Amino acid sequence: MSAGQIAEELSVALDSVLRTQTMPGFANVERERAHPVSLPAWFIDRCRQAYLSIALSDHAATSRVIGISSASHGEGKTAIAVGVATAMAIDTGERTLLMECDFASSVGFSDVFRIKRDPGLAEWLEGVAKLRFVPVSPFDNAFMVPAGSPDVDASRLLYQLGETDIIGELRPMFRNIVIDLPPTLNIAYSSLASRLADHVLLVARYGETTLEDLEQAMFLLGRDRIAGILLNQYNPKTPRWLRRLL
Amino acid sequence: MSRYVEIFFRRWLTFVVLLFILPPAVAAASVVLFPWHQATSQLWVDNPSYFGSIPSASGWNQYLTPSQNEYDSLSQMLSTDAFMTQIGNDLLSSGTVSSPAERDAAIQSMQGTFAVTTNGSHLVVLSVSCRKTAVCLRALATTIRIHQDWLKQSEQTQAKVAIDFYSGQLEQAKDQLTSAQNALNTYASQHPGLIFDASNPTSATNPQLANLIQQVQDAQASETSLQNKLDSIELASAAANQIDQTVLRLIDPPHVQGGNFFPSASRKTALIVGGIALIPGFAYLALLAWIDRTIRSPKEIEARLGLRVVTVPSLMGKVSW
Repeated sequence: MSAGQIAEELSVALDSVLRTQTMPGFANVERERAHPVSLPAWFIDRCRQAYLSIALSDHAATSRVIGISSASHGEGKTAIAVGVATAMAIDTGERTLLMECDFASSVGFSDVFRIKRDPGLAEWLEGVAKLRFVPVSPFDNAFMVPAGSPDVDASRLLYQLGETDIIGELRPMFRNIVIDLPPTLNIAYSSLASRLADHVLLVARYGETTLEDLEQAMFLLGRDRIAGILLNQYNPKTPRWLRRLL
Repeated sequence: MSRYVEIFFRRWLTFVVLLFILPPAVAAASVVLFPWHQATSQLWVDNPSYFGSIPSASGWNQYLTPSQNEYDSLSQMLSTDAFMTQIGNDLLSSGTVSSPAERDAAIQSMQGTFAVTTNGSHLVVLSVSCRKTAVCLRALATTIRIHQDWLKQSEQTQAKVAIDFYSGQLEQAKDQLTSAQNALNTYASQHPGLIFDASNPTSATNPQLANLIQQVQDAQASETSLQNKLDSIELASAAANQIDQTVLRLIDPPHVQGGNFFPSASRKTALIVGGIALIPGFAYLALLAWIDRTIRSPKEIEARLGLRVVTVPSLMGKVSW
């Protein structure tokens, strides 16, 4: 069976799943595709380490819902979310969903994957559009939901999101769900949004994130819910031999 | 510690300038702008037993070499305030310095730079560092003169005490001799016909005569002994006047080292200035370490928050999301 045939079969299967799901408002898979994002293999490998550290301790779960958050914007949260979703899609071969819940981000999925900004999750929450799933190239088992363009306060949308059971509805359809959560310290209700995920990976940026911010983020998210920390852009200036001595 | 090292390497260029380039440059500038001069002089020290009649000079340890004795004596003298006062007064009176303020500054700069070292059993090297060559030379010449005067005075004072004492003793001995001789003469005149040898008491058959002869002889022996001692002390006293030519001879007069010589005072100044110049660098490092509260290592997170750092991905600025 060729790769094209597999993709076609999976696409048909997903169409049937989305048509039969009970939650109103889900859109059919559009024929648009997200442009591939070129991430270095070693970066994806690091992201693989991150999700494996969770999966190994959670064999019983029927689906893995991993939230990626950070203390504030600009710490590489979205890149990590894309990396983790890519690694999961490649490794498991199972259907993987990347969902953008950071409504206030200046650089969203629409910029990263070069797709239309809306409609997205925001429009769906406001009831003005159906939920839009976009397949991610070059994978046939990876999909994404963009955040959309919220006209109202992002905090209210996040509150609404917390009130829905969207993840519960998506679990049967997607074995792996990666949620790009809003930053914990910048956005009110971000901790509420983080409850959508079973586990949260907290991203910190070397040389930018302070320990105090990370401590506060940990407090807001709940220490038990944080599966681990990803130290992004780690580039120590101290020579390796000296680091070993210290 | 690792925190400070990381901050150092993050801004290594700044710290290389502040810690490794600036202090040596400032230290070198201090040497060039505020030079020190060092004057040295060498003295040849002989043991006072050279005189023959005196075992050692006052205060000298007979088990030490002459240079060691001289070193000990000079070191103690140099440590006194009276010595520095004398040097200061001499600098002012000789016109080497023009004002009391300049004198005080010169004394202050010289204090602690006087050095005495021994070179072998007889050679003593004396040195001093100061800002002006003339001050150095004058101070060193004055030091040698003061020490010679002090040694001379010490010897003469002790000799005078001894001379006074032995002179009195000699007078008494002379009186005793005169009395003994008079008694013997009186006895001889009262007993004419007595035949005796005045130099041999046993030649007298009469015990009384023998006793008188013995008394005369004892008085003569005492007088001779005291006279010898007095002569010896007077010799020492006279020799003390020429101590600069006998015990303490100036081999190399005070002179300033030339060429590429780098006096220890300059090295000390350079070290102090260099050390002070290090302070801003370390202060800046401490300030940055205090201000910068960002995460520096996975270990720091794990130690502080007790959470596992699962991975350290990095796109190294390739993406901004």
